[in-house]
This record gives sequence, structure tokens and C-alpha cells, in this order.
Amino acid sequence: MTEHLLPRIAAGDAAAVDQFLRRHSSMVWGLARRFCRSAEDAEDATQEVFVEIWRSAERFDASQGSEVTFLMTIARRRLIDRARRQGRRPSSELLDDAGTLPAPVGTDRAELHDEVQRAKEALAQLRPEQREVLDLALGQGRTHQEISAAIGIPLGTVKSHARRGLMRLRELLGVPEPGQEGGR
Amino acid sequence: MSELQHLEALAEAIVFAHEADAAAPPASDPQATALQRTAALTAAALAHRCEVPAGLQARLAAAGLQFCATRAQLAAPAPRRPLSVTVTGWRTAVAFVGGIAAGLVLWLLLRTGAPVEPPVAERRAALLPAADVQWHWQAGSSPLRGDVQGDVVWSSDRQEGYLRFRGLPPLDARHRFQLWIVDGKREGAPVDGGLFAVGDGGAETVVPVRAALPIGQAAAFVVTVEDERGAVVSLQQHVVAIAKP
Repeated sequence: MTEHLLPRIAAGDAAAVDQFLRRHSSMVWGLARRFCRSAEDAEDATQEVFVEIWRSAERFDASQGSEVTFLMTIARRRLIDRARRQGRRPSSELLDDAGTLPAPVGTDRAELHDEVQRAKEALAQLRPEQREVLDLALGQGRTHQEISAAIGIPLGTVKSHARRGLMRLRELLGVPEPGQEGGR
Repeated sequence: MSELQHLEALAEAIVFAHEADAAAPPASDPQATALQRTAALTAAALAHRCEVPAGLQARLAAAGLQFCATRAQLAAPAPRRPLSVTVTGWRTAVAFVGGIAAGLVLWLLLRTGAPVEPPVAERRAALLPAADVQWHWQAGSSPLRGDVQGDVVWSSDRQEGYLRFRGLPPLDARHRFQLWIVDGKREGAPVDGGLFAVGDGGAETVVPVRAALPIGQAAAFVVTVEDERGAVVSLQQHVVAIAKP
């Protein structure tokens, strides 16, 4: 069981902030770098995410989900807001150019949260086309039109894979509605 | 719309929420909340962990430090003022104004024939008994940090402080070191603490703090490398040293 850091952060514990950054900043940075057009934009977005995390830390409720879920809900919301506000998303050229993206770092399995591991296992159970669409949309911020063009399937099929894939993941992960957490 | 159609519409809206023309799913819908959590967890599973650039690491650490300093200040009980200084009245006011005036006259008199100020190392030594902060430097993330060592002393009462460095390599003529003070009683960016340079040869350098604003409660001192004219707000891209409790 990973120790919860957000309650300590809410109390102003600098060591907890440091630990939280070491545990999660590479994940948020990796996601931001794929959602944003430039490294500068991704840096600003990453900083916005963590500043909001510090300010929201006292609202974290472990019975409602893990710290990773809390963090990534905020990260996604921030990145989505920026993408919609700026109309800026990564171009396919940028995504195809490995030289413009930072090299992935190895994941320390000891620090990999149980819930993330379960999500990886659930993703592996999806149909390959559902997994591919969700990877491009949720992991890289691509639009349904870009996905349609990239993998050569009709728009309607992209949407269908996306919604059925997400619903299936929810089922596999057993994510309850708020207020029904006791059954998890 | 059937329950299944409702869920499908929510799932599609959440997966493609980043698209400019996407409709926002209703925040109060519990099904939407559950699907948002699923999407967040999926994004975590799909995320490629990438090495965070050193400059960004420093910015994140400084922002976290600033938050903690502010939070610690909010959580701390307000200091109780001794009753003796809460006495009010015209006599106190007159005495106060008179004291200020006398001080000003004395300062002007001394200034006309002011003796040479003692060397900065002596002023630092003189401040030590009154200092409420004496923290050692920790190396920052910038490669310009060299083998930085030393400490910072600061007196909140006197609003006076000194930085002491060893092993901090000198910069070229187009750059200067700049001190930033994280103030636990102030929201926003750290306070500018002044520009400075260090000499060659690895000798010890002592630098006086020149805070641009009064410091309520020093929570951390950060040294960055900036343009020779300094920065109003540092991007914290080259942090060479940090001192904190």
C-alpha cells in the first residue's frame, strides 16, 4: 500500500511535496509533452497541474480513489482546458519525430501504483483497435479525425471503439459511481 | 435516450474532451464522474514517463516550496503581542514621532562624516548572534552550480542577511547570480534578493542580501543564474543553490 502524500502536502510538508514530485512528475510531464505542441507549453502545463494539485490537496479523499487518479483527473482537466483554449495540439509530424520528444525513463515497478498496474492489465484485455484508439486519444490528445486518418478507419468506428473501450475498462476496473465506493 | 445510449454519449464526450467543439459532460452526473476517473486511470497507464528537464524540476520544486511556506504560515498561530506594546495614547504617539525625528537627525549627522562601513565578512559575523536563520546551501540542478557550499544567515528583526559561498564558479560578463527569497507571508513569486558575482580562485565570497521588499518570514533562499541586468520574476531555469530549513 503506497503512503498517501496529499494530506501531508495539504499541511505544508515540504518533504511530502518533494516525494510526490519524484513519484509522479515524470508521468505528468510525459503526458503533457504529448498533449502540447511545444516543450515550453508542456512545461507551463506541467507547472499548472502541480500548482493546482498543491492547492487541491486538502480535497483528496482516499475513499474516492487513489492519489494517481486524483492527480491524473486534474492533469487531464488542465491539459484539456489548455488544448481547448489554445486550439493547440501536437501535430502528427511532431509525434512522429522521436527526436523532439524526451526519452522515456524506466518505470520503477516497486513505485508503480497497484491501480495503474491494474489499469495496464485491463487495457491488455481490450480489443487491439479499442486499445489503439484510447492510446491515441487519452494518451496523446489526438482528435477523432486525426485518429481516423492515422489508422485508416471511419470516424464513426473511431468513436465506437473509444466509447466501448472506455466503458469496458470501467467494468474491468470496477470503478463505481460516487457514493458507492464501499463495494470496491 | 436509453441508459446505454446515455453512457455511450458520456464515454465519447470524455475520451474526446480535448477537442475544441466537444460538449462538456455534466459535472453532476455520477456516471460521468466514474467515467472521468476511468479515463484518468487509463491516462496514467498509457502515460510514457519521461525525464523531467532540470529547469522544470527546479520550477516545480520552487512552486512546491512556496506553497508549503504559505501553508505553514497560515497554519501557525498568530504571535501574541505583549500587552506593553499595545498601550495607546497621545503620549505614546508623541514619543514615537519624537524618537523617529531624533533618529533621523542622528542619522544625518553621522552620514556627513560617516565612517567607512566595516567589511562585509565583519558585518556578517556581527549579525550572527541576532540571526534567526542559518541554513546551508544545497546544490541546485544547474550545471553552473559547481561545487557550491556555504550558508545564508538572516535576521528577520533587522531585515539583514548575508550569503557565504565557496566553490561557486564565476560567470561570464553577460550573466549574474540572483538571489530569490521565498517569503512564507507573501503569496506569489519569491522576492528579489539582489544581483551579485563571485570572484575567481575558489576563495570564500560573502554577499549582503538586498531584499527588494520587506520579508515577513524567510522560508527559503534560492540562487539562480540570470541575465546581467537580472530578472523581475525568475524562470528558475538555472538554480545553482537552495537553502531551506
